[in-house]
Amino acid sequence: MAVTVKIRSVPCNGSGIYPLRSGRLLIACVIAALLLLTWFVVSQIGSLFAAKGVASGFGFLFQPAAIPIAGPLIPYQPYVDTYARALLAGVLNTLMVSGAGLLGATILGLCVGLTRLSKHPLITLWARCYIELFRNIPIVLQLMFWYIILLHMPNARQAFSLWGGVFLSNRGLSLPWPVLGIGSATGWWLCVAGGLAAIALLIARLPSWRKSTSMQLSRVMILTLAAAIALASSLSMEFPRKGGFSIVGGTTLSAEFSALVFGLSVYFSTYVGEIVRSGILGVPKGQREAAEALGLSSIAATRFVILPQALRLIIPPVMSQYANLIKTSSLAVVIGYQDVVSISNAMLTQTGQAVETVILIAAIYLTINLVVGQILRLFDSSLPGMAAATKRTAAQ
Amino acid sequence: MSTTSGFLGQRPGVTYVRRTLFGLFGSAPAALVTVFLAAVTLKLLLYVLDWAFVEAVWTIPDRLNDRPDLTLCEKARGVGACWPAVLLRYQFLIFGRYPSEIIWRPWAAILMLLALFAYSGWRQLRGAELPFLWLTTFFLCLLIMGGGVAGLQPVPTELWGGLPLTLLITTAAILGALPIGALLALGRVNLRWSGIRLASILYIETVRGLPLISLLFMGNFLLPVILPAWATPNALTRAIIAITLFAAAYVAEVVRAGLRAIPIGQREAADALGLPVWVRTWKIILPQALRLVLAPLLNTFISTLKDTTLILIIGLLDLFSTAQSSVANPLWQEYYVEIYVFTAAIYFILSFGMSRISAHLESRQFKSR
Repeated sequence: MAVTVKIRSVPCNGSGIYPLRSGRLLIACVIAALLLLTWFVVSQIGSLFAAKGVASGFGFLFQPAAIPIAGPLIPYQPYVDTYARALLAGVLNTLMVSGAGLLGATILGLCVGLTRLSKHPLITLWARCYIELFRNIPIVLQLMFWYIILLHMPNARQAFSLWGGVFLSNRGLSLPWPVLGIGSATGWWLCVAGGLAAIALLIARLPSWRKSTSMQLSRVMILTLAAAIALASSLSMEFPRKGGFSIVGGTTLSAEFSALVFGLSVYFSTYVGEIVRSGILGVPKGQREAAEALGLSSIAATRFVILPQALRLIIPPVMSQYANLIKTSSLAVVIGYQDVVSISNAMLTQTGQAVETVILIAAIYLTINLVVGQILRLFDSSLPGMAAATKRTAAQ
Repeated sequence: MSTTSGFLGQRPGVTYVRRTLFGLFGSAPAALVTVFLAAVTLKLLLYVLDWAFVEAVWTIPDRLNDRPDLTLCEKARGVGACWPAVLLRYQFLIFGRYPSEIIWRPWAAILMLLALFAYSGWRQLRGAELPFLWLTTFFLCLLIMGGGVAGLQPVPTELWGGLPLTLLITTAAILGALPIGALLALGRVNLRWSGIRLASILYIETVRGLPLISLLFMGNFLLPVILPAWATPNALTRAIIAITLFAAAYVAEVVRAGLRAIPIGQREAADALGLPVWVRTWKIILPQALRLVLAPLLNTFISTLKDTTLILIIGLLDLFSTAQSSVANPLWQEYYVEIYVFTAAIYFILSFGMSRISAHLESRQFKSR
């Protein structure tokens, strides 16, 4: 299409590209508008707080909190402990849910991705239906669905019993859990000794230790095995069983936690599956042909040629999906699981300190994001060619 | 590709059939898996069809005191669906608390917005009239839903709900996030003003690091604090602002990728022609960049549609929230499966349709170049 613009000659800057006066007025107006906006916002907040008699600042964090938390990971009592402690319990809850969700999403996503790569049309059909079904339905809907199903489970007396002592009731999922045995002091000492020796081996720089890599590796494996046996002999698994009105023994994951972890895992496994599939398909076909021409078996070709290159393509997008999962775990507030967003919301409604709460939540999530970003950068150095792939993904 | 000879002939598409049959029955393990999976799939399909249609309860009688008689439904639990749980309440499920005598208005809004989406997808890459069409359709829908003009009875936004609300919020978020996101992306890639670049990076990384729920809370609780009472927008507008600002950060990242893919020769040629910066951006750089990233942009918009379900947090009644309150109703509490399946089906059709349009656009884009 024809562009008719009056072309004029104006004095240009040093590189000869931009006319000197273009845009300066606009920039000055934009900056002035932003400054005006900031001053207005700050003065509004200040006058409102003065009128309400609400103190600004973070002092409210040390007042007793009226927030009940179910099953906190640190000792916490409502009406006794402070808001700061409640927030800490919330952060730990978020990390626990996110960690379990990440594990589930990775395992499920790997299975889904590999299934999607199968050559059998019916298997890929099932994988495609799974991915499309759980990707197109909003996650909030899925979470509520699983939660209500769990709430409709029978009570503890008639709980469903899956294999190996796992119970499903309306109190949640009861799993066997290891407990430390009494009178296993020797086991503990063996553990500690084995662990120290393994660490010493790993950091030892004595030339006599620098035999072949495989010998070093086998020594580490032997020591780890010894430590594991020592640990296992001092631990025992406690299996849950049906007590009078509840499930006794083992550990019971609450219905909210189970629904949240299951829903998050299923939803994000679709994304991880697609990423795994596109990563493995992104390795050029010639790589496998060259590996087979060199005489590598199919398994060896996969392990030494295809997988490292595929991992380079898979890990950066999967890391961003991990960050997504951690942020989506904030949906716990819909189900009633007290994660950090839910607790901070209760804090906001109780104390009325909107601005400070908002700053706290932003800081917490940005810290989590930074940590995930740093872990991604750690991967950059471990695989060659990862840095370029990470930059490419970060640009998208 | 289609010139392979064989007993099934040489027409294109036949190769696909041959390959599928070979994959299904080519070897003994494959044939076993086929038989097993086909049996499982058929059994599952038959059970679902049985539950949803054959054994389902479609009508139930009313009792004298105007409460429905649920004995048929209770007998059919686990065997057949109780569709009256959806059919008797479908007006609340789809439209929220909108007054039922003027229900043609939300119907009109839904149809107009869906037609807009479909037309945009069909119009593909050469739609110069699309921005104008989107703006006019959006404001027309606002007027139809809200009333107060042309003799239409005014309806306050608190009564809006369900599918029209979801579609309206999505459209508003798309309309707002595209320009803001494009501006942010342009600010981030510009090499001249580092202050603007820093501000853009700060905004994008901060908003992308936060969950949408916290942004919704912020919008809901902070905006009334910051703004004086006469300027505070209503709950719906606060939600739209929060979702728009959230989506703008993601749109900015997508558009930034597109901007980086434009060869620098384009900018240099524009400068050689003496074109001012705004002409260069608006007529040369941005059209190419947006055309490149159409598919990821559509993916972002699909995510925005799914993210509108979060507004039940601040008490607005979108399509999912109406389903929630229906399930909370003690009368229909046991029939949550039917209600959730209905709502999930609507979301699935919308979201799957949009992703099919996106895939279609992507294939057409590379063909047309």
